[in-house]
Amino acid sequence: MLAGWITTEVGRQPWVVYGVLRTADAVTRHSVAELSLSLALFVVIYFAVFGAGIRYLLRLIAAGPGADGTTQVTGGPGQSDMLCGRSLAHRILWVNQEAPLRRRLTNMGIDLPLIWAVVILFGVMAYVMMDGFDLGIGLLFPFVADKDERDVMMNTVARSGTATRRGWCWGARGYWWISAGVFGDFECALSTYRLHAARPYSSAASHSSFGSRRASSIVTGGTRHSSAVDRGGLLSRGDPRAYIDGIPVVERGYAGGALDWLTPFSLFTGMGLCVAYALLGGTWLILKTGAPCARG
Amino acid sequence: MIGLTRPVSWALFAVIIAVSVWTPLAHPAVARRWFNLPMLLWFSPVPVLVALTFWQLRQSLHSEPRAGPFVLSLCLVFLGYTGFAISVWPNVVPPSISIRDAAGPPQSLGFALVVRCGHPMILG
Repeated sequence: MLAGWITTEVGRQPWVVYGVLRTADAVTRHSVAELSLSLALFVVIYFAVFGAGIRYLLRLIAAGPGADGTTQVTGGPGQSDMLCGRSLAHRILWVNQEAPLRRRLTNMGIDLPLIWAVVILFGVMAYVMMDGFDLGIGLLFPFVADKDERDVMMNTVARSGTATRRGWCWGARGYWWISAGVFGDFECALSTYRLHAARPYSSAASHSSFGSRRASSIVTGGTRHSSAVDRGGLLSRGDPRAYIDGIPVVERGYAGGALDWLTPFSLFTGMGLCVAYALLGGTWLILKTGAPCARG
Repeated sequence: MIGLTRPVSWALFAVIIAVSVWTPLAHPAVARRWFNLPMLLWFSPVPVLVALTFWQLRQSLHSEPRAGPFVLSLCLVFLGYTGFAISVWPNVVPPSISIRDAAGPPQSLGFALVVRCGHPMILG
């Protein structure tokens, strides 16, 4: 994946937007010192983060399966036989590795899956809201004939003066998107996560940032859902709410067809989401252009 | 833009009603969740708040609005999202996989939570 990424980036040079914008012209007007500092920070942080991740991986691999006690604990993955049924071997493996920490966390009264579910629900909602109004502006474009008015519409979400409001918005949105990308922690839900919204970089975000997490699931034996992840990519062309229809799951793997998302209900909710985006876009424009110019 | 936003707000109201009727009809599990007695009392504020928010939105579109309609639209999106969340909770892959079934090992969850708290510092 990374090699393909590098190939596209290098192959596109000297353009950053092919045929439109040269890389040299796209550079922000920062001083050499500022650029060097931020580059250095990136290098330090990336080495720290990925170094920690690789160390963590190596430690897990060195420990191997079944390194300590055999205490049976309740709850958590591997415990639900009916649905995410792992084999006995997997369960013993998982319990053995995680039991001490798990007990400690339970004693502290921390319900990590619950915390994560709330974090992710909130992240996805924040993303929908922040993504909503500018997509909505695009949806309203066909209904506005006047070119100048369209320019105004576009400018409400564009760079204004030195302050990059749009930049703020993009940054904040990316932040929520990455936090939603932590859906990777609900490993067998990755395919569902794709259903939430189709973005090509979603896989990049979750796989690169949490590559260590994925790899650790290989160590603990939870790899069977990889097919679900792949199919999820196909499914993601569906609308964000397709998944309330239910997703057939057998042995933690996606068991439906590639076009299962294509139901009247999901198409309707997808359309409904567009209407919600359009409303957000329209009301955003009222906010930005003010009442007098907003008549139209 | 107000002229354009008015029909869109009606359209969204129609969509919300249609989805609210369609969802329990098409999904018996959701119907059970919605219409059981203790649950019904907990969930009943949602449609009431949707109606109130929509009414406020209509009102604000008839005056000289600024931020009002946008905030109210965000409220509508939030309420719709809560309706969706309470329908599937605690499943992350309906109808079968709950957040607990799907969760990674606590080691990873704890680690990622710490990383997640560090995100704003890195990205900000």
